[in-house]
Amino acid sequence: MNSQSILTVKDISSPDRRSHSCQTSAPSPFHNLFKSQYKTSLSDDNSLSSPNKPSSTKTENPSSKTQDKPILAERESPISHVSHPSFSDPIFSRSSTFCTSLYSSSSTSPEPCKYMSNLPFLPHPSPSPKSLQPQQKSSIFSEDGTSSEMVAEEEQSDDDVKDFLNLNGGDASDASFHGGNCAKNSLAMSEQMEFQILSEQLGIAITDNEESPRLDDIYEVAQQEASLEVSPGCHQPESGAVEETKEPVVKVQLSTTRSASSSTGSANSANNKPRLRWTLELHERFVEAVNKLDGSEKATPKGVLKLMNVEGLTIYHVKSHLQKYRLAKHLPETKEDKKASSSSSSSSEDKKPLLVNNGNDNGKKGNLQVTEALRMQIEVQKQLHEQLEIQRQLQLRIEEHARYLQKILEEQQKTSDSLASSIKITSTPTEFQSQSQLPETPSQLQSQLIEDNEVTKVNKKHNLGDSDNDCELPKEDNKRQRLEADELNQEKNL
Amino acid sequence: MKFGKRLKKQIDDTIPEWKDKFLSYKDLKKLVRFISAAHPSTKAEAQFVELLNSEIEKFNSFFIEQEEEFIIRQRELQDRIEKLGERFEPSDAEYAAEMAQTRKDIVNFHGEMVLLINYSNVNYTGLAKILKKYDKRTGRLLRLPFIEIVLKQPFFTTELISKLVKKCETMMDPIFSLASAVEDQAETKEMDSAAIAEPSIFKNTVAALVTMQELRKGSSTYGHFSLPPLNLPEFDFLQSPSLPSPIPIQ
Repeated sequence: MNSQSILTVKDISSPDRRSHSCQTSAPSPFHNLFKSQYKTSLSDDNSLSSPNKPSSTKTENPSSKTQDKPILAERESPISHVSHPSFSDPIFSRSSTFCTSLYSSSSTSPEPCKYMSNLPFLPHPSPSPKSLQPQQKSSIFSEDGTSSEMVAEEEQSDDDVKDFLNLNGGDASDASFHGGNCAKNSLAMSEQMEFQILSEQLGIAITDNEESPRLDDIYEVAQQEASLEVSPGCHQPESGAVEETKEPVVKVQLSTTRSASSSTGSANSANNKPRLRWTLELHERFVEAVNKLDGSEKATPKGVLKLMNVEGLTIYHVKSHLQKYRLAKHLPETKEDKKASSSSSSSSEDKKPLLVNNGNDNGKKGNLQVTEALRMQIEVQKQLHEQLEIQRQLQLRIEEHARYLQKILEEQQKTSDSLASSIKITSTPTEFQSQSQLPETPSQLQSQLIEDNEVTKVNKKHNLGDSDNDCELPKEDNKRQRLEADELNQEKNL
Repeated sequence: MKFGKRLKKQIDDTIPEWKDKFLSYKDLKKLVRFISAAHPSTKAEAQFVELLNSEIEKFNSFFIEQEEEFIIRQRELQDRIEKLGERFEPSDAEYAAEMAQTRKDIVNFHGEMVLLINYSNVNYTGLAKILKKYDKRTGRLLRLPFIEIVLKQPFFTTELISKLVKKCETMMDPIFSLASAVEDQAETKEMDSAAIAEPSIFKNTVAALVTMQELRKGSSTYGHFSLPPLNLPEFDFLQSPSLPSPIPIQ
């Protein structure tokens, strides 16, 4: 029993693992994805083809406008169609969010359209567009490839990169709004049901807050473009290309270096400096360029920038990096000078004075103790590192499973809804099984859920590294199911 | 409040420059309290989400800055080690001094990087917790989608730093094995000076480990989304209330 459930879970989550492992093993392609997406918006290219972009974010954005509801429904369809090709290709869908949606059947797509149009607002009662005049860059928004792409599309009409960045960063809550919803859409049908109820209370208030001419303009104008652009764009991923080559705009350098990555959002929103995430390869190039220019002192940012020849790299990036580089170079030099000149020294970085500067016998003997101390320190540090790695993996797995269970829930809700009111949704897990009218897949998933539940009862506590984390998850989600099932019941009874 | 207290302790023990870069857990908690489930106030919720976003922004900028610096430092250390062999004779006194300094620097560098990963993890944990509280309070489902966004954020994608750490460890091996070869015949002598190892980094590392362990012990809310208990090998100093430095300080 256990094995069966685990097997199936594994099967289903294997795309997750794939993407997950992709994520962990190769940071540069991952970054490159963001880079390439950002690149698109930067260069104002209309042929947006980022795989992640089709998401849900677009669908979610306008739904906050009550008056946009009809438009919303229109927009949904192109987007949802688009989303499938991307969902079907696990390679480029780096975020496991999309991988989980692999097993969400395409039949879910029309649903959001309907639900969306019903919702006067979205799950995140975020404030809004008046903070569109952005002081804050929201990296959430930008980092989430989908949302940034969405906004990028919308901004095409404005044809202004700065605006894009502003929109991107400015409304932090709006950003989270977007980002949150992009992920949400792949999951949250049930949530929408829930929010329909809540929306009665909150909806009007929130939509009032969210009026903003600018946002309206963007959404309305951009949508037609978006529907046009997104469709051709989405087919690129289908060609099976690997991430870097998906983006037509990304120049060769980027693909080959595989390391240049930048993301929108920066601490200094006034400059609209896109934040670059340096990698080892990129730094390598930097150092080569600097050495060609006779060292860090003589090298100028402009020269280095040219020599590096990396697409999307700005002089600001190089400038700040050069500054740090010079600092790093100088500190050791000053340390060495000090040591050479004086018998006792304290380097600027050390908090305590150094012992072994004498270079005499005393130092040598003390060295042993020092080394031992250092060894101990290293051991502890290694331990911490190992534990952190494990912890991180666990955290990722936990979230994966939470998503998986959420998916099951949605499936179940959806099918039970579509089977009309004759089927009464019961609140206990065992009763899920008894609903024989439910189609095959959801009931299979449900039976897994029940099996998982039983396993949960048996394996209450588990050890580190045990892969049965997933067994314990169903319980909490059952609560949620019950809650939502109850609300559904209430709603139906009303 | 347990997590809040532990977080505070970590912050107190951390590298001074990092102190204000951690999660403002307390503030977020206050905001969640303001949000009443019965009477949803969009303003409070908006504030909450705004604060969340700005926190994440804060993490990202800080993390990326540090990452950049670490990349630079790692390269420099590498160059330094390579040159070390060239510049001095192994028997040279200056060589020993250089070596010691380099070793120290590498160890501290390693420590700092690990602490950055810890920083990332602590903040993530805090975020997950606060989102859970929010969900509980409002009955909404903000946690799941939001945490997914968080998972993709630069500050949580610590692969590069991990890679640097491993590289660092590789760099260290020859250095330390060299050290032991040279000092095999050295007599142990009582040192008359202060500690060599960077105490704050060491202290913070130990504190981090201890906190991790404590956080993962069973709690009242221990459940399916909780991490399993942490089993650490026996480190004496982990158990003692005060963290001793490896070398007696005078």
